[in-house]
Amino acid sequence: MRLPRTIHEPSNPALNVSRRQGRPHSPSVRVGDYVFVSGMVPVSPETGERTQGPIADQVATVLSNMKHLLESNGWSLDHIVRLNITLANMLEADDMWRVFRTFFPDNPPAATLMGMQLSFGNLVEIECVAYVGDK
Amino acid sequence: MSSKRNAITTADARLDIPKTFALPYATGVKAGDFIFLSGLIAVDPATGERAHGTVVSETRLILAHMAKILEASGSSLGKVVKTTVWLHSLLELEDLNRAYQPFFAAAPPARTVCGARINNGMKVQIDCIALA
Repeated sequence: MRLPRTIHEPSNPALNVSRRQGRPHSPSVRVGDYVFVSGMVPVSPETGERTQGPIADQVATVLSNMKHLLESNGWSLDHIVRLNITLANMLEADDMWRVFRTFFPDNPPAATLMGMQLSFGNLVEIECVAYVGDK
Repeated sequence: MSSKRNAITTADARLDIPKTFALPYATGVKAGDFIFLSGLIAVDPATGERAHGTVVSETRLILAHMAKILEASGSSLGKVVKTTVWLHSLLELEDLNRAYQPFFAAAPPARTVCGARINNGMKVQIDCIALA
């Protein structure tokens, strides 16, 4: 048996970083009941350019863009089962969690935090897996 | 609307890492045929406090803890399909392997190892995806 692999994009073209910047990856891929979302960095929904404000703003931008990507395809943040969060500076973890909490106020998903170098001076990158089987 | 996420936790509440450290995520979530566990760090099985040690000691504590969490949810280390290991220094990769290998003696799962910063001075963090 072979499950089809389908590509799912945000309805706002400004947020389709994979396409706009000619990257060899897709914003998200669904196979079976699972959706695998590529790492997302803070991008303005108005301009499609990077937004490099404080970490709290960057986290809010990434998670609201992630919400948009999921909702563009009929899903929501509630379908996320696990996220990987990469910070350029682990000293900012508290600020990141403070904003994260507002997006997942109850029954939050699994999450893993790590500190690594990020490209282009971004302070945060977040990827996730969503389960849309019980939609 | 409240999420239908099926969160899984530890049998011993003190060993629930996000709860102990007041972090806003779940230890794990079961979704369909799979269990997704958050990155685990080494905690003292008696107190739940961080157990800073060597790469070897931290790896052993994490994987023993992972086994318990999975077993409490009807899975096991034998059903793990993928792990990701974050290591404070890749110079210690051989130490990681030495401590890791006995937990996955037969048909080990897929694995990725990254050198990364881990919060609060821990040396190792490991997450996994397992068959439920």
